[in-house]
Amino acid sequence: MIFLNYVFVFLFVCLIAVYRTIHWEIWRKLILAASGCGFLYLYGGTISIIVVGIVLTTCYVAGLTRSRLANVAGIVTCAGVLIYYKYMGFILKEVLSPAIYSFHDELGTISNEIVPITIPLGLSFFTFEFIHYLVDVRRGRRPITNPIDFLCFGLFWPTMVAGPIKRYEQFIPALHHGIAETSVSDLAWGIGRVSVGLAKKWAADNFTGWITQFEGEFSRMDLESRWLFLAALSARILLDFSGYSDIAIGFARMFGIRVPENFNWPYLARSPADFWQRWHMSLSSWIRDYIYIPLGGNRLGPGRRTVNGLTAMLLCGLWHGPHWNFAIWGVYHGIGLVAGRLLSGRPSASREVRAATGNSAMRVAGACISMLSWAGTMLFVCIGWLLFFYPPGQAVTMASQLFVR
Amino acid sequence: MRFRPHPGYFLAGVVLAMTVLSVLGSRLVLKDLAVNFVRFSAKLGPASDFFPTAREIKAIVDAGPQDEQVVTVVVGGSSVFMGTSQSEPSIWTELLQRNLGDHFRVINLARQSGAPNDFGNFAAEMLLKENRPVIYVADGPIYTFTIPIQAATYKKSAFDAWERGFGLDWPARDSLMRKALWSKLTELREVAWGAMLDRYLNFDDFWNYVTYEYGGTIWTQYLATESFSPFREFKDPEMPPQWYRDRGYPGGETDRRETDIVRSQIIPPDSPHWASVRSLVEDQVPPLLREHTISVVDLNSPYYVSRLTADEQASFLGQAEFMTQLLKSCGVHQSIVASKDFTADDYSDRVHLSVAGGAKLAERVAAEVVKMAHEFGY
Repeated sequence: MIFLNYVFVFLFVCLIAVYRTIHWEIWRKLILAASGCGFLYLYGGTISIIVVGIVLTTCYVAGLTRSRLANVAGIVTCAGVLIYYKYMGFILKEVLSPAIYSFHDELGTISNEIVPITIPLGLSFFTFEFIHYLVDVRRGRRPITNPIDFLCFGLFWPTMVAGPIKRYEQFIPALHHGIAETSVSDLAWGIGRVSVGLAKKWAADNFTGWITQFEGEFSRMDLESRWLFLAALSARILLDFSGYSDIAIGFARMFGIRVPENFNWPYLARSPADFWQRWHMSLSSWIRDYIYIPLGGNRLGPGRRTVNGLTAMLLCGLWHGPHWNFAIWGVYHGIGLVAGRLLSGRPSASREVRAATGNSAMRVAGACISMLSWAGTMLFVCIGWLLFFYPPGQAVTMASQLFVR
Repeated sequence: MRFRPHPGYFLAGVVLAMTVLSVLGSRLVLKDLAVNFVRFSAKLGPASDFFPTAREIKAIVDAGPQDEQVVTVVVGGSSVFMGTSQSEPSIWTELLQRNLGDHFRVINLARQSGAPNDFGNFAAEMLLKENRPVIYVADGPIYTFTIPIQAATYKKSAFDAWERGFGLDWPARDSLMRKALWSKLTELREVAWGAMLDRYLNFDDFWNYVTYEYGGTIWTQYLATESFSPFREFKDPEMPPQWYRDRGYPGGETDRRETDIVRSQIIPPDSPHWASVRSLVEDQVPPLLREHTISVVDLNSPYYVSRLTADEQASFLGQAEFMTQLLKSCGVHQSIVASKDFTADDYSDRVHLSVAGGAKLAERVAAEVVKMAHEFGY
């Protein structure tokens, strides 16, 4: 793990000591930007510096011009970089090659020749952040004019590896506030949060060891053990991912900067929609604001709404990686969102019934419905993790084995 | 009213907690490991992420009689010398101890996937630094003796020992160890930094103590359900000799594969490889340790060697002799091929010795140790 090695800890202690000793705001910003460059170079190599440099400069200039054409060009650059580095191999080998079988060999050769071996560090995160920036500027928001502020936004290393995906309207004020008013309280809070994250990572790594050992024996397990395996798989991803987010949020806070939360007890969700308001919130809100709503959202009728939702969730799934299982996992959740909406009718209906009747029997019934909703959602989400982690065929087999001895 | 402590107290608490752990680490040396020590169980190694610290190795060395007249025979190297496929009380080093008698004390610090320069050597160097009588016996295959430190399985223990000053001064090695701090190899760099910091923080000593006495903290595939048990409860997992006898040589495809491995060890004498073997020995092993070392070149089971062509067999056995000459020319006191006339029954597999083979090895090494002790006037 990037955040848990001696070199990183040593450099971080030096960095935070210098940062908190110097009180000039401009220097603090420069330290943040320089540390971001150093972080990129140390863990992502020269290619990361070059790619981020090109995208960052393009987006900064495009934002400053406020020209529609320049903004579109910037967005296309970001999306192009993301597609080229992350999805080109998948598109050529997994999508086009089976579809145009007569060019199977040619596409394989092209793929081997042009698909890059190394992916820039934090590619999925920084491209989404820059796209958000340019879209918002195109929608009329004020761009970041100060180049150092923009560097801090683009090169803020705590969120570079696993998010949260920042929004510049929130980040820039948080940056200014943070560098002006760093407090001991922020430092203490940050250390506490990083510790929580590390504890979660430790637990997740133990689950990973256990899961790796027993996944090959899944079909030979008894039914109870299979469900235990699924619970471990679900706990592992939550602890791992939210642990990373805790560490990122904690490090940011040590610099006095508050970045958005990414998880809010997702396993307490009582519907798929509720789950996505609690799980990787910075990603789900990004997908909503920059894919679902621009596609038409829920404004164009139920049919279009369903198509928009499925498309958004397909892209959400693919964001996690260029493999079919992620795409299917995304669509699976898209279907879950549609089904959840159909089943629940109006989300607050049961609450309203309870309030109107005041009847204790109804209250008990409401609580039971609530429990059932939670159980159903958890079942749906946890089975979904099989699709997330395993090839589709294997995931379906494993899911079916959860219900037969 | 909600209790909200001043953040300064929290930070002070963090610093205090780290300091307490560090002080505990400096006080809690895992001496239990040294009680009735025979060898490191295969369960206390990389597979369980348990790497003994230099202070724990020192505790093992110091656990014996402090009589200045007793010669300590430190055994280092690979699983062959560790005694894989020999269980107590038939481990070859126990037989070696019996052969040598009370004037000698044998400590088996050979490890699975170990090398002569990544673990046991530091125990010998500790003793040499204290001017105590010591003989270091280590094994290696026919194509190398020492290995580059970045490839060493026990580099964590090696760096720890070096950082704490348990090793002999040797500028060539010191320079290699110092350069590791800035190595481009992440794993090596991490180990080097960890050892440097742990010299002051003693966290590894603390966590080894906790793990050994109270229970592991990470799940490992090797230990599986025992991962969180106190490591002191582990019994040596070695199978009884009968198990190996019953198993025999597997035959079929395995025979072909193993024979290919034997063949792949043959390297022409004019290959540049030998220059690197020489420089590895000269850089990694301090001259004083070389002067106190008996190196044993491991052959492979005749069951496989006999499957080579006549020319290949001659090359294989000739290379073993060549290796001994090379090591002697590097300043290693004595180098022998102990298993020249061993039969297939003296091996339990391609490389490891059966109890019968271990007994023969113990006899031959004992003779060399006694001879060397006489030469040194021990």
